[in-house]
Amino acid sequence: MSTQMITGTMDDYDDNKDMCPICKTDRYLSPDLKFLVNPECYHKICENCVDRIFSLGPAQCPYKHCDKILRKNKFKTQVFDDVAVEKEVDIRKRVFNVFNKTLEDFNDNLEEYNKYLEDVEEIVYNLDHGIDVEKTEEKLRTYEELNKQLILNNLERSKQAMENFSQRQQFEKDMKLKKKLLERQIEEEERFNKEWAKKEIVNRLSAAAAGTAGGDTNDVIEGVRNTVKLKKSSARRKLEELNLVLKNNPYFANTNMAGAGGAHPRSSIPYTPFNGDRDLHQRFALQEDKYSDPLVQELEKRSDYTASGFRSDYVYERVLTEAFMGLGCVISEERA
Amino acid sequence: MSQTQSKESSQVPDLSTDKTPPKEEVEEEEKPPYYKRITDDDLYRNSSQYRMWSYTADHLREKRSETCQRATEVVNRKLEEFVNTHQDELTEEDMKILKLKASPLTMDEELKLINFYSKKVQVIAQHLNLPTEVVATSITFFRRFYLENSVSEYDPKNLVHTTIFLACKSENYFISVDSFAKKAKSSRDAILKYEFKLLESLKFSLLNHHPYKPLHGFFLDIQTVLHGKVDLKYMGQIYDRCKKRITDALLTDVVYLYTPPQITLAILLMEDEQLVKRYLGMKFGKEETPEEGDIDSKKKDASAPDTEDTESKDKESTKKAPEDINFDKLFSVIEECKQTLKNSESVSTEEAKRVAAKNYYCQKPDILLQKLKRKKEATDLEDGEPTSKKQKLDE
Repeated sequence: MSTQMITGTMDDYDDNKDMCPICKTDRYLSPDLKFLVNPECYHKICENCVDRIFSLGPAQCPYKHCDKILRKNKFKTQVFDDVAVEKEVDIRKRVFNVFNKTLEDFNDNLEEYNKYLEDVEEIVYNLDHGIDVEKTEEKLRTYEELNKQLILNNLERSKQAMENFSQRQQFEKDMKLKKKLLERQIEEEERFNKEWAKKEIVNRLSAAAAGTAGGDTNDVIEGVRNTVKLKKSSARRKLEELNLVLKNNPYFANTNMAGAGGAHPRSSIPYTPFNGDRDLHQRFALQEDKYSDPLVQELEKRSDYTASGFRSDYVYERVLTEAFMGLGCVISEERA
Repeated sequence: MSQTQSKESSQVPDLSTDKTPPKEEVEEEEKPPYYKRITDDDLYRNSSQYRMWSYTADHLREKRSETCQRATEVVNRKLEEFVNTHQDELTEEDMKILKLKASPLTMDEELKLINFYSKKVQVIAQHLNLPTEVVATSITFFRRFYLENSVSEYDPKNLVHTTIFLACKSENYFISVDSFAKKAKSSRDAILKYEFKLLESLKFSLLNHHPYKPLHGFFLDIQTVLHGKVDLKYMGQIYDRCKKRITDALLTDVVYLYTPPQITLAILLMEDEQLVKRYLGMKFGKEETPEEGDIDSKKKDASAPDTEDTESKDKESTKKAPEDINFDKLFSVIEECKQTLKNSESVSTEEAKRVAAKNYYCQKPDILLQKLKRKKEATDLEDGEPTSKKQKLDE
């Protein structure tokens, strides 16, 4: 960032990106300089200047030859470097707040919906490029008046969807955190168990050696290991439960249902491009041993062909299929 | 540990019992609407070559005359405009010449020019050492373009390289424009200028079914059907000769009138009539009724062709193939195709030159007049009385 800034100042001092053109303060002198723009004219003005000029009420844009009247509450930080992009995004935001119908509002009639979207795009384009601005604004206003209730409903709905989404994200985040904790716990327990088992085996063996000599070493080791295994499962069980919860996640289930039910109601049927499966009766039978095809047989021997998956039976099948594909179509009759 | 194991073991059979059987049921019972089995012929009917580029002979003629008429109107209008704007300068003699010499091309003349240039496309593409399929595709593209457009709208000279270049791309034989331009001794801009127009005229359908693959297929299938009855070396020779003939066939109208396998069989028929007759007779049962013919051959193939027909004849009536090929019908189609191939003749260079000149002059009448004037001057000079006539002309 700093290097960028320096080169910037070196290259074009006059057109400095980090200097307010009104008060000429730059980032070098006040590091927390912030620029704001107003969607009326998109001229860049620093925060201090905005406070100074517009706190008493609406005033003219301080830029030369710009006679737009600006209000302080409309100022905002610029997101995109390119003013044209910033402007379009703003227009889009404004238009989509009004034209916020979804596919459901058209009873899933895709054609109508697409037409509607096209109309909206037209409005956005017109506003962005300054074509018939007054007319378009009028259109926007009348639409807003006419569809007030619908717009409100849709806004509510999208808000809810957003909330739902954020809730789900929060939920997943929490669950992941829990899972991580549990996993770490399990790891620690395991390490502890291992050490404990080692010690236990040594202890028992030494006790056995001190007492009667009849104790079987293998039996002792096996016994200790079994107790360790039993110990392990308590933390594991918790993790399994958690995984189960994650799997049956209500938010997940919702989205999955919507996806499966809405888009592919009949996903169980395999897709067939021509509305039917291939006829399995072929007009030929592949009999590789009977073919004498010097070219293909030559290629079959070459490693540069076989390495990339060359197989003579594929070749044979393809050319034979093509040989009988359309043999029965008599164009002069069918297309007459 | 034991717990997890039991869980797993209980889950695995669950999966298999729960999921797989319903799937099968669904596949069998729930068919999408208008479901039908797709035969190989239906596949071809779905191809762009069949949908957009297959015509009956009448339709083809109609299409050409439409294109020609459209171009004729344009040329005539331009001629009229020329006469109107230059009314003061044109002498009566000039008008006569214009009427005589500057007339738009007829359909036949256009076709001659197209055929001539298609041949040229082939020669140039072969000269550039391109693979057979690329050559074939460039010819096809070129001819299709002039089915949609007239030679007086777009000079065929300008499209030769464009079609070859596009064919290279569409056949996955990539050459960059610059190296192609260098090889073809053309310029990058000249090649790319009409590329989009070409694509548009082709209706963006770039996949071609050429008869080469069917030829290869029949080459193999003849070997099985006539196993032991045909000399393999001889078959190889036939194959090579047919391949050359296919390229020539692409220069004719058969590509619009017949399907690739039919063209292939017609070409094979030209090469060795007996062989094809025997093969098709065995394959599609000359003696049998049309419904049984196809199955019969299939069964024969499946149960080794050496076995006698009697064995399969008994079973064949039980099943019915979805689409059958009638030997007689197929043979008549092939015979027809063969005749069309035989009747198409190549265009001589002189003829093509004459047509091309006519095409040029009817579009540029002023150049025609200039040229004639110059000719006259030359003869006048020889006659020895240049001044008087020249003055007249200048007026």
